[in-house]
Amino acid sequence: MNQLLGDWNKLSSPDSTARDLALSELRLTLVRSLTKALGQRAGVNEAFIEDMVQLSLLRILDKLDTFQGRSAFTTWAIAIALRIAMSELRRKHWNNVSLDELQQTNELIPQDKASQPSPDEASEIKETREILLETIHSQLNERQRLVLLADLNAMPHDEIAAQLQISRNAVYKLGHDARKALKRELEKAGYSASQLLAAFQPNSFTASV
Amino acid sequence: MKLTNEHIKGLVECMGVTHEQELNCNECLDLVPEYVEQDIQKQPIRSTLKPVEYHLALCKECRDEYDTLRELLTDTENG
Ligand SMILES: [Zn+2]
Repeated sequence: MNQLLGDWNKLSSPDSTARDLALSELRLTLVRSLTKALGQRAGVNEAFIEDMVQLSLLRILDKLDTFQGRSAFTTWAIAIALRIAMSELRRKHWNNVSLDELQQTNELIPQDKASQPSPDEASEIKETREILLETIHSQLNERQRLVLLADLNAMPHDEIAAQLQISRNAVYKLGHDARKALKRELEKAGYSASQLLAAFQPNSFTASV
Repeated sequence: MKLTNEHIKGLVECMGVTHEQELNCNECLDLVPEYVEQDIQKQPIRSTLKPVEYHLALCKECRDEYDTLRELLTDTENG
């Protein structure tokens, strides 16, 4: 038994009666927590909560050995349940939007056609746009570009992951590699993020979006 | 799709919080329970948990889940 579980160590007890009791107590805690946290959101009803709690219990039991007692057990368990339920909610909301469609209708247009700076646009912003577009087209692979495009359209990583049939971690890595490439090229040109953000202040230029 | 100034600003903001090494979403979730308890109790966040802060600044899914967890636990603590 995992002693770090404290009062919850019955979850890993060989005594099935004790284990079932602990499990139904955990189930109740998760039902209450998910109902309180998500009950008012669109698409959430009793059946949804039940399904999510069931999936969460399986995941929690599967990961029980990894609990290290660095927080209350319930905090750890609720965090896992929220990850599962909220990922599912985001997917429900987005699953009629396909990445292919997004890509076809929203391909980032090539640099030469994209640069239409207004006359009073700060030169840093103009140059930044050129560097970003150049890097996006010459240094990012197709999947990195796709994640960046989906990010710009606020598409959740859960949905990108499902459509590409990869994990949410893998989507994050594609985005991370893309960001690192963009950052590297901006820094090569002598720009830092804080300097560029200052150029976006209202007094620095007139926005023409 | 034209890269609008809003897009560029968003990307530059991301550059500002991009680190060479970052936690992925699962690694972040492993540390979130400890981080959220310290955050709620207004304890200084341990330096080993700093990467959680970086990840939450960049990943809107983990941020959304974190905010929901924090609100839930704060409400629970306050009865
Ligand atoms: Zn994340």
